[in-house]
Amino acid sequence: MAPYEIRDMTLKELRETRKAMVSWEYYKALKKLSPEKQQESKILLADIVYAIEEMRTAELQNIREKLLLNEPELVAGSESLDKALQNLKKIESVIAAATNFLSVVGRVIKLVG
Amino acid sequence: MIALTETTAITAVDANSQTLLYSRGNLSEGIREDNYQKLTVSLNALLEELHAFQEHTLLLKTYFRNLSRLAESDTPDSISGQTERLVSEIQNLGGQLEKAESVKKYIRPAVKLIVANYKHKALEEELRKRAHVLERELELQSAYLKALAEGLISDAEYLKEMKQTKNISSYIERGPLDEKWTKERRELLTSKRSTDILDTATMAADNLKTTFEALIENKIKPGDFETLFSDIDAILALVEIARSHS
Repeated sequence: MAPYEIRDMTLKELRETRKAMVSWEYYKALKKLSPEKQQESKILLADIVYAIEEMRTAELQNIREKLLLNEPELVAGSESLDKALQNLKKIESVIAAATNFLSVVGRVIKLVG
Repeated sequence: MIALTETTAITAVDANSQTLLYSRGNLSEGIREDNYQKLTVSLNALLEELHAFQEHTLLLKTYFRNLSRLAESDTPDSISGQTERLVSEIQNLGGQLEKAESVKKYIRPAVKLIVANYKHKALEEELRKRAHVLERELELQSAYLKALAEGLISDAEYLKEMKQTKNISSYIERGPLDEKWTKERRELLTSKRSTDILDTATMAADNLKTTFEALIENKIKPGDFETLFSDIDAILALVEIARSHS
């Protein structure tokens, strides 16, 4: 893929995850988790929202190489996150897949505020 | 146009604030502060970009009003001097907006323009000098509107999903229902599909270019150029609908 396509794919995945994480299905599943896990999910959502803005505004020329370097893992991470989002009842799989995807995104853009 | 950018800014800030509220929960003060800082910083780039776009639009409007005056003026030299300065400012801002990655993918190649013969020679000269520059700046407006619609819809859908979850949970879970519950549910269920809004916004944005080309071909008068911006009003109306239902 061209760098801009990798960026667009990543942004789309982050936006879909953001939406799924505030859905009714996700909310129901979240309530069944321990307080620690619920906290983890809430921090994750804030990180995803932050990543969306950072990815949206990052200049392509500054992240081009990193996008290309991490393309295989971004694609694999996106596919596995897509799969996890199909079944929000398995919320721990969603959290794990989103955390993994975000950690790859963090290799492309700086995610620490 | 101004309303569009303000709506986009408000929706983006709301989506950001709702995330802060939603993720606040039982987090420690340290984590809350961290989240607050991160999410606030992340909005600044967008807000600065929107401000530049507003300025770009206002300058373009002023330029086309000057063009209209030029077509009726007996002393066109002073107006020509003003248009030159305006175009230079428009290009400076355009250069900033062009850098936005979300915009680049929507920018189409330049169109070859052939300026028609006008009775008013000062107007014809102005168009011959600057039509190619204006074509690029209007293309940028069109591209930016498309990118804006994309981000706005994503933020609006996110906010809608959040409101929907809140609406369902307040019905299902124990406790008294808010008196606004019925109204909120109706708004959520009857809101316009966001893809329709995107299609209409894209079409209206493309009309910017078509109207300009009609001017170049002497098919409309510069005084009629306000119609170019009325296309944007159509987007505004839809964006307002999207926002009120998000």
